[in-house]
Amino acid sequence: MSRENKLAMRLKRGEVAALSEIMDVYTPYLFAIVSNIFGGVLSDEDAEEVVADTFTALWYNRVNIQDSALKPYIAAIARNKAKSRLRTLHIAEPIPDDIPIIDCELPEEQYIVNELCEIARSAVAALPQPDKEIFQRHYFLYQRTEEIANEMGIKSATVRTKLARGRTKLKSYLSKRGYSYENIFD
Amino acid sequence: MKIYLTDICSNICPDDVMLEKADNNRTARIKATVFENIGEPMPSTQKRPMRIVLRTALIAAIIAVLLGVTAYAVTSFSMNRNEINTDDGAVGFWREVD
Repeated sequence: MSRENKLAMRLKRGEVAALSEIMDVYTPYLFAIVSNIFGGVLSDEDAEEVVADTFTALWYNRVNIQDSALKPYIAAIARNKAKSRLRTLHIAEPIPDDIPIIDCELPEEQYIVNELCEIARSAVAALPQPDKEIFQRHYFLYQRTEEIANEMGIKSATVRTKLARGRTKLKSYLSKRGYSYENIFD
Repeated sequence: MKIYLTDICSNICPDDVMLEKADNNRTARIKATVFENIGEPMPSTQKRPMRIVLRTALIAAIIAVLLGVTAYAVTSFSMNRNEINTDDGAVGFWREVD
């Protein structure tokens, strides 16, 4: 059993020491994601506040954690909280190619988002490496193309090409499920 | 409400990418805030390792004692005790027989 699984199990049992260990392991990771999302618009103190809110939410929702998915679970909470903070302050998303997929005011909006998330997950899973990692770094971790290029030892132009390839793949997956956004993706 | 590409990418967390910008002071500040939020005392970082050390030492001591007792018992059991009581003043001699 991995360390992540053990920590998740201990947290679910309500061990405060497990929460402390989780913060030791994941604070740098979450702070980096939140900082990437803020893109220099909000301060480090704001980012720390969001990370603290994330761990607080993790503690109160610990019964919902799946043992094998602690990292994506807390990363998703941190992303949502950081994005909410930006939207509350009416600050635009920092990634230039963060394209609007749909404009919806329907009651079933959350259902549609969940379906779109599942389609995106399938499309990204089908990408070959390193395209998959590049897409995940950019659209999940909010890393800029230059940062990805530096960390992966490739050219920025290559990163942009592979991101475009990933968007095309996602577009085809969305089209197959009845979501067509010709103008948005091109 | 507009749903963006990053909104639908909330399930694509990379497994093996870890962004490291470690800062112990920042972690300590965030911990203090979180434990204040949840109304729990911050656990001591020394407590758990000390407990582990004590537990390991106790188990090692028990194992050592058990091994010692077992070794003594085995040795005692297999030893051939033909002790000669010298107080009886037993004397003897060799006689060669064809």
